[in-house]
Parts: sequence; structure tokens; C-alpha cells
Amino acid sequence: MKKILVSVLCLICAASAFAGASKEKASSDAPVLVVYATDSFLSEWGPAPVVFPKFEEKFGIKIEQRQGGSAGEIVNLAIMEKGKTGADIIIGVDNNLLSTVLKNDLFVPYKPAGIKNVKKELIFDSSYHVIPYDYSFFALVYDSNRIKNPPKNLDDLLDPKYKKSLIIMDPRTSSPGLGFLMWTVKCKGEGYKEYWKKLMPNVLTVSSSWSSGYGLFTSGEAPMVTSYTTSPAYHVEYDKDEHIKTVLFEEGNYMQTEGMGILKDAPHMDAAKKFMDFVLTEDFQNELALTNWMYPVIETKLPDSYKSAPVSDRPLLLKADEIDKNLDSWLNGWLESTMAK
Amino acid sequence: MKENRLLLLLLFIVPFLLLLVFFYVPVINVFITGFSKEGLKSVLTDSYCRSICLFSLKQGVLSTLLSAAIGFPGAYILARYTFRGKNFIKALITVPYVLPTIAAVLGIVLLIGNNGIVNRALMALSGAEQPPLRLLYSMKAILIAHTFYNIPLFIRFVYPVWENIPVSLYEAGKSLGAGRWRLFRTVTCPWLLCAITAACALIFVLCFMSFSIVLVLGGGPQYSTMEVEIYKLARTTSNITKACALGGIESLITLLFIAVYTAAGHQKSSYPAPAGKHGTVPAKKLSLHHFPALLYIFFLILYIAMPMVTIALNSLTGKSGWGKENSLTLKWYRAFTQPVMYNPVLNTILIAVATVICAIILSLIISAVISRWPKGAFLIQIFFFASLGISSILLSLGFMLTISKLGFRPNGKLLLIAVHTAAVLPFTIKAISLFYSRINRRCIECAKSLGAKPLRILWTVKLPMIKNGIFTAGIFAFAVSAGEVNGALMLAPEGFTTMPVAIYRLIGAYRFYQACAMGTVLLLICIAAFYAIDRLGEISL
Amino acid sequence: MKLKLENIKKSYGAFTLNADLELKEGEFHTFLGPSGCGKTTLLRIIAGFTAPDSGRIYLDGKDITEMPSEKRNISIVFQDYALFPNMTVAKNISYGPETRHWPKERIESRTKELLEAIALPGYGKRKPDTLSGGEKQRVALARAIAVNPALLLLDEPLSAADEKLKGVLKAQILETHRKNHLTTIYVTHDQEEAMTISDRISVFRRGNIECTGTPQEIYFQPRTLYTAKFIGQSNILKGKVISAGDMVEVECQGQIFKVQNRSYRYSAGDQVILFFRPECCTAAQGNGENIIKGKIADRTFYGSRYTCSVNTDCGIIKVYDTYPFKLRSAGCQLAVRPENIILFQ
Repeated sequence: MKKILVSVLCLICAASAFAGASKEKASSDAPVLVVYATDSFLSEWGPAPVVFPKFEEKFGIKIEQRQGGSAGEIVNLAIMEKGKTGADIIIGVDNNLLSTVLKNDLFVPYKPAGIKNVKKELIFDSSYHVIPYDYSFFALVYDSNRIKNPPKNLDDLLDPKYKKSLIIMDPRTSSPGLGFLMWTVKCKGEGYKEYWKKLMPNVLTVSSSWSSGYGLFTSGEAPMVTSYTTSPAYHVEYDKDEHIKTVLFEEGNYMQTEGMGILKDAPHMDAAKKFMDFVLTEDFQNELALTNWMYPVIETKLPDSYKSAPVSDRPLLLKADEIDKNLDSWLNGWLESTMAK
Repeated sequence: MKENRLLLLLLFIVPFLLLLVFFYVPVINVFITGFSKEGLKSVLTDSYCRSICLFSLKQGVLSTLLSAAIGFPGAYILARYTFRGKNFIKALITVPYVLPTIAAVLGIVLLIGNNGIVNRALMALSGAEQPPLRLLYSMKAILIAHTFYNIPLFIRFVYPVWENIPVSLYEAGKSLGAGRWRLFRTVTCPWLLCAITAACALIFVLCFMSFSIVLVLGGGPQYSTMEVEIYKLARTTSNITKACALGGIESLITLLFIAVYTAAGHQKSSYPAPAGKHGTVPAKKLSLHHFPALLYIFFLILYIAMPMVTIALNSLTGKSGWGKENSLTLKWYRAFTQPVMYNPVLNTILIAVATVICAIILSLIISAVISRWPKGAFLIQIFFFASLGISSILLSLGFMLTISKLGFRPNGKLLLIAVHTAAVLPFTIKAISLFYSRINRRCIECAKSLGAKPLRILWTVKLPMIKNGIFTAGIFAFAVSAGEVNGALMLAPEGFTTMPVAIYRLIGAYRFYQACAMGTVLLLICIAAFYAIDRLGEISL
Repeated sequence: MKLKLENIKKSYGAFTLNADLELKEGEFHTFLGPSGCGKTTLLRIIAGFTAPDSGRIYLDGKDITEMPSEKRNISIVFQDYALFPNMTVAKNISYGPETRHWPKERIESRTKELLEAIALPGYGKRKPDTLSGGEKQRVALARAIAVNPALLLLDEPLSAADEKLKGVLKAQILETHRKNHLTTIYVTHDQEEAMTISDRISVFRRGNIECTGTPQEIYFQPRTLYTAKFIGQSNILKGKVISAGDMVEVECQGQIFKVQNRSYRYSAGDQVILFFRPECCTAAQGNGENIIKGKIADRTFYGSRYTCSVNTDCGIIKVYDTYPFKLRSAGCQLAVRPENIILFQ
């Protein structure tokens, strides 16, 4: 008994020492930049571990990360703690969140040096409050071993031969899910409800998040999943596996653009501006393809695996204020038509 | 004596503040926001909110009844029979807790999904083109997943109580002419009633707040719980007021059941202490004659272990899913030589061990307070148990509301340990206070009269006497802490990743098999930890 | 004076304990009373487990009222023995010495010595749950005396034992007491135990010490009617004082009793209660003092004697008829000596 107690006490000491050690870092005098970012961006397998050190080295500015979960959560949090976030930049504000961000006046406009290199159609905020840094398209991803002739447009997807062959995500809880809903809204207008009614027999399940949905797809539950045009590139790059494919739809693919902005009350405005400039350089942009699995917003050389990730020439996008106005009714409409099963 | 009481009271402030800060403040913030006129109005006038509330109740009740019905024979077998591998089963029924939901869902899909092991085997055997077994994406699948989590919980709650039924009650019954069925009805059932009630109340609460299991395995939005709607309101449409109102209503329902859980547990501890080994029904050795029991154990192991085993199997394959070209590989495990993979392992162990220690110490303090003030036991327990009835979505909403009022974002390992400790206290307090209340007060007094100071009494008499409670508590604390995701995501300092978080991130970064490997390691570590804790319990005697 | 209790008061709701008591060095003192009379409470106050509301406790002349129990050097043995289930027998016994940081050899030799003294040598390595009730009790006793306590408290240590074992254990307790010259307080509700084992007895009644004295005093000259009734068999008759001198004459249903006057408290006309033990009542012939005539109503055989209920004019009187038996059912005469009758108001 005594030995156990002694070892337990040692453990406590070790644990608290370990825990205490991490506190010391904060008190250095080097200039800092406080960044709010999505969990996927800051993840060990995301862009942050690659691009942040580059920035720190180049400018001698230390980056302090704040995790915020999903993009929606971060924006919510920033709105709630407006004026006292203590953060400088939010990374991961996508086009769907633009109107929320603008309405709440979170950001200051800033036109980074490299903005001229960014493709015009990607600048989704013409007031430069939110600057895009990468983008991709929502798309149907399929297993070419099991689907020989993939659907070419939204209507093809309704074919009864795809009965229970599609995994989608719930637009209420996941952004690819929401993206797919918007896609149908954009293409079908008010007919989107009718479309969803017809689509549901082909849907195997509606997953709560992209992760669980894509996980089901990876484990072979269904041959089709809604994901991104960039998804196949991962399998080519890391699994040397080319039979996961995507298809560009004839009516175009709905686009997701991720951006970032400088918070109004940023305590380190200069550092924030330097970071915004840095984001649009190749140092940052080149890394996105294989870490965030999105296309860079400036012209750079893409890795070979991106040959499997075609860029749509018909990008679809709903206007931010339209989304803001109708999101609730669209979600309710979606729910109505999918539950009518 | 007065000084001791004062010291105890001072010590009690620590867990009290812990809960207050990490639980009550955020939750009360949610309630304040939600229970406003417009918040309540928006929920109560919404017929969809009413219907999902009904569905949540329905699936919760069904899952609970099913878990209890299937778990009941298991509790009986564990209580009344000895057999080889009993300890393994005891460890096994604790493991499901540590599995993050996403991993459990995938494990079940990999096992009995359309392309799961079972279906592929059946297809290979029969030569069928289509998967013959279509269990998933229906109400059935929801129930399967919930029972996977909760049958073990039920067994864990009921079998120790069953074990302790005094044999004299049976003998008295038999002498009065009662047959087996009558003994079961008049002795066993009343004795087990509290444990069963407590287990069912807890299972109901957990199922009621289920989120992705219901959505993913149910197969569509017709199966949505209140949690889904709260998530949507909080994070997608940013209707915080309505989210808080709905979350508040959900919490009121769950808190009702937590009260039942507490009251039932409270009554249990007022039973007379079992009269040691000799006072209970001796366990029989399980032999081939007990065919149904053997069959049950076989299926139980299959049911509980298989989803986990499938995850482990998947982590050994290069790629399954699409092709038949499965090849065994250890490459996902070789990645554990990199810091991104082994750091989460170390971090998880660090946090879990620290949580175990803190939780045990605090539970001892709380149990001591409860034993000194039995009238307040219910109040104290429900104060610490309430956290079981609050969903993680609601809690993180509460954290956000609180953080926004605070104006800064606290994070750090100590904070994470504190939150985990607060989260495991309902389990550890229950385990420890039950034994604490059975300490023979006269033993303590004897030790005192022999000159032992309070600390020496604690080490030499009290702790050894409640050893079993402490080790059970340790296992629960380790399991809950090692499997916790939301707190670890929100509060961990930068670069500090725990295993469940790493699993989510790996899946999020397409690294599905790597995630399976991480999940397997998590399971192995937990099994090892349970085994170690169990051994520790035996050695120290 | 070994132990002195001065105006000890303790209240629980409607119940109040009052105690004043002095114990001599080496005394074997028993608290006797029915359950709920406060004897165990007083024991716990002495041990220091319960704090009195007021009053002082002195041990060896030192005020220990505020002293925590672990410093008092008062050992206790409980009814359920309360052996530490997690320790071996030897560890149980050496618990006190270890707490006091005795040198290792001394602890070992003391443990060994005690194991032998309680006739359980070789039991050192066993766990308490492998012992029989009697063995447990002896271990508990050994554990309590291992540190040579200033005072030994025994809380109904025999109530769980059967008759035969009781005898053995009682002998063990007495032997321990004598060998170690331990001042001992013994709590029991069993009057026979109290009589046979004690130097002095305190009889408790509803939180008060009704009276204290040697077993003989308590038995034959009880100071209160309660004590008289609580202990042993008794005959109680109501009467009226006719005259009071060196002898008090009391009339009871026409029968005149002469009673030795001890207190000179009574005067003619007082209503009194007469008390005498069955064994003080003998079969008598002819005429003399305090002769009572009656008929035997009931007779129970106890081996060495009959216990008879005799129907007399004064009511039923219990009498012991010892061998050779003298009482006849048809009609008998009883006599009680005046010094054996005690009057109560």
C-alpha cells in the first residue's frame, strides 16, 4: 500500500510539473499574433503545423493558436465576445458565413499585397473584410470499381439504379451537407424540395458530419458520397489508389471558399496585416493542396495527384444576403421533404 | 474533532468550486439565455421541436428497456457464477465508454454494415450479389448501437449489488416454502430494484442525449433527437436563444432522471452492509451444463467486443472498403514513431492518470462529508451528479457564453484535468461513497483510541477498507477521461492533442485507417490500465 | 483517583445524560442499564469519540476533556470487535505500538507475548475474517491492551457470544484485567455479567447514574427502587407505616412487617414500599417476626432450587425453596428478617 501511495504521489508531482512547464512559454516578449482557426486548419494533419513555422521564422512573430471547433462556432464565439476576443485573425470564414460576419461588423477591411494575383471570381467579399485563401467545389465522389458510369448531373442522381447508394451529410450539422443543399437550391430554385423528395430513396444515410459520412464511404458502405472535388487527390497522393473519382456536374458545382479576416479589435494589427500578406504568397498557398485538400487561390503549381481533382469551370454560388435571409426556410424545407420518406 | 470537521469543510470547497465554475456557471448561463420569454415561446410554439422531443423520449425509452432486458441475464451470470475469463469480461464491459462515438459508429458499420465483415462473409458463402443482412440505417441500428454502449453499463451497475444479496434472505424465504420464482420476485427483485432503477435512469439520459449515433445509423432526418436541433440552432443557424431554450428544456428532462438516479443510488447505500464473503450466495462454477449461460457469454463478448475488434482488424489492412485486395500491414502502427502519433498517446495517459488521482481524492473528501452529514447526502450527490444530464453541445454552448462574458479564453492542461475531474465525479463519488458509507465506524474509533492521527487512520484503515470502491472509481475515471472529446478540443493548450481528438482529426484528414490504429491503441491502453488498476487492487491487500 | 467525571452533561433531543463518577486505580467498573440509558454514550465521552456539552473528565488527575481521543491512551473493545479487516492478526495487535513508534523489536516481542497470552500463538499471519467469534474477541482485547492503556473500555464485548463462550471470554477479560492491573470500564445490559465480573457497578437509568456500589451493595441494599427492581428478582409490597422507632412497623393488607430503620425518614402514616429478595424469604414454623401465611400458586424447578410464587394476603410473594425442599403446596409460612427488608417511598 505504501509503495503505491508513494508512486501515486510521484505521479501527481510529475503531472503538475509537466502541466506547469507549459505555462512558462506565454511570458516571452517576442511579438505575437493571436489566431483563431478551425480545428481542421490547426490539426496536426492540417496546414497550421506547416505554414505557421514558416511565418514565425520569416517575420520573427510568434503565433498563438486558439482552437474554435468548426467555422460556425468560431464566428459565433467571436460575435459573442466582440471587443474582447484578444485575437487578431480568424481563419476559416467560408462564403456561407460572410453575411453573418459583415452584419456583425467583426472585421476591418484590408487589401493584402497579393490580392491582385487572386482569381477575380474567388473574391467573394468585394469589401475586402474577408480575404479568400483557398477554395474547392462540393462534388459527388464515387468508387469507380462499383459505379462505371457516374451521374453527370443532379437529375442523373435520381436514377432508381442508385437505390441506397449515396451518403450525404445533414445540412443542419455539417458544412458539406449545407453546401449540397445550397447546390440544389441554386440549380432547382423552389423545386429543390421536390428534388430532395425524389433523391431520398437513393440516400443510404444522412450522416452528422463529413468525417462520419466519408468514413462510411471509405469503409465501403455506399459507392457514392457528397464531398469535395479535391477528395480523390488524397487517395492518389497517399494511398496510390486511383479508383476514387469525382465528377463535375453539367449544371456546375457549388463552391466553397474559405477566407480570413482581421478582427476589429485586433491587439496586434501590424502582425495581422503581415500575416494576411503572407497568406497570399506561395509560401502559404503551395501547402494548402496537400494539407487542407483545397485549391490555392493564386496560380501555383499543383501536385500531380491533383490531376484527379478537376476544377469546375461553372462554379455556383448563392449570394450571401440571400443565404442569410433564407437559410432557416431552406433547412425547414429540406427537413420536410426528406422526412416525407 | 472540531478542527477536523473544519478542515474537511475547507477541503470540500475544492470540488464544490470545481463544479460551480466548470459546470454550473456555464449551464446557468444557458438557462438564463434560454428561459427568456421569447426563447421559450419560440420552442413551445414549434411543432417540430415537440415532435423531436417525443422521438428522443421514445428511442431513449426503447434503448433503455432493451439494454436492461439483455443486460439482466448478464448481471445474473456475473453475480452467481465463477468462470475463467470473468475478469476479462469485467474489463470488457468498461471499455465501450472510452470509444469516441464516431469510432463506435464506424466499428458497428465495419461489422454489420452493408459492406461489413458479416455481410461480406455471408456474401462469400452464399455467392449473393447484394448484402443479405440489412440491419443498419433504421431504428434497429440505433437500438443496436445504444445497446452496445449500455448493456455493459447495466451489467456493471447491477451485478455487484446482486452479488451482495445476503444468503440468509434466500434461506429465510426457502424455509417459508418459497419456490425459485417466488424467491426471485420477493427477494432478488426488491433488492435489485434500486440498482436497476439507477442504471436505467442513467442509460435513458445517455440515450436521450444521443446525437450522431441516431443520425448516422438511423439513416435520415426522420430520426433526429433534440441534440441535433440544438446543434443546428447553436452552430448552423446561430439562433442562440432558441438553442438555449431547447437545451434548457432537454436538461430539465434529463435532470429529472438524474434525480431518480441519485435517489436510487442513495437508497442503495442505506442497505445493511453485506456480511462479508460468508453472508452471500456462493458463486457456482460455470460448467458445460449451464449451456444457456455459456451461450449468453459468448454472444455478449461477440456483441461488445466485435465492433472494437473490427476497428483493430481495419487498422491492420492497407485498404479494405473498395476492393477485395486486402493485405495485412503494420504501416499504420509504424507511424506511431512520429511525435504527431505518439504525443496524443502520452497526453491521454497523462490527463487520464491525473484525472484518476484528482477524482479519487475529491471523491474521498465528498464521501467523508456525506458520511458526516447523511441528511445532506442527496443534495450533495445531486449537486455533483447533475453534470451527467447536460449534453456536451449544451455545455460547450455554456462555455462559449461564459467565455464571452469573461472576455478571455482560458486553456491549459490543468484546466482540462479539472474539467475531466468534474466530468468523472458522478461515477467516482458513487463508487467510493457506497463503500465509504459501509466503513465500520467502530474500526475508525478503535484506531483513534490506539493513538492514530486522522491521516494515519485514512492510510491504514479507511483506504484499505474502501479499496474496491477506489479501484472501481479509478477505472471509471480513466475510461471517461481517456474517451472525452469536447473538453479536450476546447480547453487543451495549443499543440496538446489527446487520442480521441486525434481520432476525429485523422478521420477529418482522410486518414481513416490511421484513425482505426489510433482507436485500437486507445482501446489497448484502456484495457491495460483497467488490468493494472485491478491488479493493484489485489496486490495491495 | 484514576478517572473522575465531573458534571458531565450531554443532550440528544429529549435525552439528557448526567454523570458524576470516580474510578479507583485498578478498578473493574461496570455500567449497567437497559439499552438507550446512556451508558454507551458515557463510554464514548470517556473515550473521546463524543464531546460532552459540559463537565470535565480527569484521567490521572489531568483534565482530558478537550484532548482528542488519539492522545488519551484509552483503549476500547467493541461489541463487534471492529478488527481491521485489511490487516493480519499480528498487524491488528501491533497497530497501537506502531502508532506510538515503538522500536521494532519491542513491537515484535509485545505482539508475540500477547498472542501467547490470548492462547492464539501462530495466528499472527491470519486475517480476521478467518477467525471465530471468540478468537476475534481475544484479538480485539490483545489489540486494546498492547499499548498498556491508562484505561480499558469494553463495550458489551460478550453480547454476541453464546453462554459457554461467554464464560471463557469473561475469564479471559478478568485475567487480562488482573494481570495488567488495568482500570477497566465494562458496559453491559446483562446484570448477571455485571454481578460476576465487577468490582463496582453503576446502574444507569434514562441518562442518570441511579446508584454506584459493589455488586453486594447493589444487590442487597439498593439505594433506589429502580435499582432494586432492575437487578435480580424482587418482592415489592405496598404498605403504610404504623410506628417508627428502631424498628419501623408497616402494615400491608393486615399483615404487619417489622423493618430495621436505616434512615429514620419515615413517620407514622407514610405510604411506603417494602422490598425484599426472594432468597431473604425462608420457610418458617410457629410464630415470630414477619411471618406470612400463604399458599403456593406456582412452582418452577431450577435444579438447585424451586422458584415458588406464594399467594398471600399481601399479594404474590416470590420465594426460593432450596434443597432440602421445605415448602408444601397445601399451605406454608414464610419469614423475612427485618434487616433484609428495605423501605422505599
